[in-house]
Amino acid sequence: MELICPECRGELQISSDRMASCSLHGGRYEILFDREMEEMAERPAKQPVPTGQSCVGHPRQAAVFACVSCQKALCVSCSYEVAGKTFCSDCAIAAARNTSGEVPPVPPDAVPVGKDCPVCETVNNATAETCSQCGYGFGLLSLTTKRRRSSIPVGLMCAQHNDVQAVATCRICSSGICGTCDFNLPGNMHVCPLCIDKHDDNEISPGRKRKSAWAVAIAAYGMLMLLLLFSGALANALENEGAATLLGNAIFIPALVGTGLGFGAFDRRLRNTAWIWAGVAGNVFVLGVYVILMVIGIVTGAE
Amino acid sequence: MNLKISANTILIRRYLEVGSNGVIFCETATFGGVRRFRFEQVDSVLRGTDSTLSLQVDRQTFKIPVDRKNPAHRAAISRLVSELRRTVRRPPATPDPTQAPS
Repeated sequence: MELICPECRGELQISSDRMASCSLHGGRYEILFDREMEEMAERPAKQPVPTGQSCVGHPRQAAVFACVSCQKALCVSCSYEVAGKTFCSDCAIAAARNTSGEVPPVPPDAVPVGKDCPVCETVNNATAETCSQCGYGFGLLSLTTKRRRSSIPVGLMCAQHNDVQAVATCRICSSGICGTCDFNLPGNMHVCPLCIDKHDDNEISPGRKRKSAWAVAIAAYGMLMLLLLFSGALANALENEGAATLLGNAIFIPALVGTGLGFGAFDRRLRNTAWIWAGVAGNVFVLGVYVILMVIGIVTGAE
Repeated sequence: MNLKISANTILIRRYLEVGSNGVIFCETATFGGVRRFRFEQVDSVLRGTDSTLSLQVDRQTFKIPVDRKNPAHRAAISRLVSELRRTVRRPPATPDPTQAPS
């Protein structure tokens, strides 16, 4: 992981031991802790480290390794460790094969990771597109955030690069993913490039759908109550103070809850359906009318 | 006991707290704005020439001004760095190839 300048977010260059400088605005920073440097310092020196050279892939980064096979100068990001030795990406693929040149077979006890349905929590097959129990369609938003200790089966190779060992499994299709193909989403969820491409950006999560449905239902109830109120059907109730208070609460409290649910379903970064807008607008309208009625009632009462 | 670096202004509440399992960073004008990270998630800690401490978590950076002369700030920084160093992955011990197996 390269160091990022906290001021301009440019890439920092390590100029000397424990100091880094920003090439964009010239700021200098003392490195109090850098995880990669500490981990490198822990590794025993097994091969010569190039001095004064730049990485072949990143000319502005100092090289810290040399490929054991082709002697290319590499930075931390471009180096790959296979069997305790550091290689460039091309030589690492060749080194990952066994001596016979064949890809190691998957052990017979290797079990692919299954998929949990987020609605009914049924465990489905790794390749299932819909839940066998409730029919929920698996997509990116169906990724469960449960922290299960699922280990990568030994010998699982990347689905895109058959010669490279997988470092994770895709949460959607459970295929193997190498470090290059891995999309690490928030919550430590790994997705392969094919599933990322298939992801529907307009998908609404089940939680948001539930909230918007309840918000719309409550808004409809609030509108009905206001209609009854203004139509005079509840005139008898208004004559009794206790009943009037109860009626007011029967309008206000659900509208308040509905407003909360409506705003809970609303997300300005994602797509908002017409139902979500209806839930928010309806409840806000009912609340607004209630507040106006209260103000009129207070003002009238004060007079 | 958690060690804390406070750098509040009139409008902004800002602090960095070093706990037993991770750090808490807060920068907010009203409510919220609290971020919690485990030590394993922190990639780097830098200190600028203007004594601004910055943490990097993945590609996010969080900075807070510190006072080098303040003993509480110095204690918090040294505790943070020592806790982070403890979470550095160490390679497994490899057997000495010169020793014959028993």
